[in-house]
Amino acid sequence: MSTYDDASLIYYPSGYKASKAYSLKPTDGSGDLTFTRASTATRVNESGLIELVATGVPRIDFTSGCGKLLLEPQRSNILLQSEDISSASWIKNNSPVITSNIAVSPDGTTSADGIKSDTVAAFQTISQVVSVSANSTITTSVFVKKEISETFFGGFACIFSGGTTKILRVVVNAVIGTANVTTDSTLSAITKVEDYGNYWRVSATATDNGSNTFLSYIYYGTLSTNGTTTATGVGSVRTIWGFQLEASSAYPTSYIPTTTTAVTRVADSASKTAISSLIGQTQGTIFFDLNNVTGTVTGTGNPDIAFKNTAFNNWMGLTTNIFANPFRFTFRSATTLIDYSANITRAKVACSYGAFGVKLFVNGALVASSVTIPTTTFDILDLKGGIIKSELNSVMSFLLPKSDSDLIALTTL
Amino acid sequence: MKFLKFEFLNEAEWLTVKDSLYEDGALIPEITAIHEIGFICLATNEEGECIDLGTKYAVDMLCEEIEWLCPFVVWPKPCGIHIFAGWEEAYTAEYCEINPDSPYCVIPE
Repeated sequence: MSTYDDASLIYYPSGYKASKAYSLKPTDGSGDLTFTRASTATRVNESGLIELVATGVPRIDFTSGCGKLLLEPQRSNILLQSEDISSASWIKNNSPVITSNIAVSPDGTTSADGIKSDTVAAFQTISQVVSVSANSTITTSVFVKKEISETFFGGFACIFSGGTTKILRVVVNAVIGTANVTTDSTLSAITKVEDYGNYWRVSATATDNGSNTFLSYIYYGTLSTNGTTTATGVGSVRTIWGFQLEASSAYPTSYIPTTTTAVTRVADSASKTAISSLIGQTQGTIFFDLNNVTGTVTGTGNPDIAFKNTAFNNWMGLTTNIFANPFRFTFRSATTLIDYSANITRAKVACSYGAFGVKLFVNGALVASSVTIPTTTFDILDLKGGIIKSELNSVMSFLLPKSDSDLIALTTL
Repeated sequence: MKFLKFEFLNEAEWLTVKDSLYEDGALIPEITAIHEIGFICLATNEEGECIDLGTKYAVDMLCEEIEWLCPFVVWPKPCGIHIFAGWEEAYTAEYCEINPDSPYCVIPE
């Protein structure tokens, strides 16, 4: 028998409409997921362009080439005019050379702007000041057009003030796609550069430790002449678009466009209730294939992406853990039988359970087991962007335990 | 569901209200989303720094109408300083229904 034939439930990102994400199996609709998101949001479409998705419509995201169901928590972009640096919302410091709409942006429109420093006398920048909670963690991101060559380097800064001033400056190399924290920064940061076709998406996550309540976000025409230390210089044009500053966020999420106000995207959620016939009760196997699992807070163990029961005292699925271990899987049957964490963001996960106990396979290896025989009931599949962000490739359920060799094959990357 | 804006006397008053909006760590069914704006900056200097911070605590919600929360509802000119993505039109329509004489809503002849 094939995996398809054996499975009682298969969800693979394909067909969808408002409020609905269709499962491949069963084919009678009894396993189709109900989707909710009470706001619009953006995704990368099949053409590689960022586009707006209507309220309540699932996002099949093609950032990495293949379509994945995007599940994200609620986040806000608190920078105004995210696509227009000529706007008065952006304070111009020392008269940087601003050119509007000089290149096709990641959404396919000609809306990317240019900033250039034309003097060595002073840093020439654009900036916005926002309010933040004391000692908050923030994540900022911006799309920077790839260059074949450039003169000196642009970059950005986050300056926390109101308490003990703290500074983070990040130099962006638009040729090779790197983001380096400058040596004079007083905060460390986790930086990330993602490939978006003709653009890099450069992000930085930092936590203030000076009890500051204001944050000045600054973008420099030239921030550095050598890529590591700060210096003024007459540089080439930096083509930029899609500024984002997410407060209380330890990782970047999908782009949230803004104009005259801050904008909040609400969390994604897909679920199906009353499907006990599609989930093994005292025995069975479940499978998740996930990309970009990202979590930050220490979870309670209550999973966001899981098979559960209505009483919510049985579950098997993913929650989050501390940042160093974003992947966490728990299996609970009266007591917790499996609680496994790992520092991975790409995960193929299979869990089999029955008279032998519980076995957990992750990325081709048995990583945890329990000989306690679970006494479980399951009737819900719940896929939420609650406290973790993830991109879902597929979910399956089988009414019988699969063999260890099958599960190794199924979960091998 | 509606996009409603709320204003509380101070943060402490909001925290008291907030407690009653959660059950077992999850939002009550009438509330879909909360965004805490906090203290709104009323004026900035040339560098964009806030020089006049409001004392009221602002919160936006996507929610059903909850009677006991009505005294805290405010209607700033669309759409204030924050929106939930895609809710601009709904807020503006309701604002003009409640404030039909607002210059913002009066269509010039």
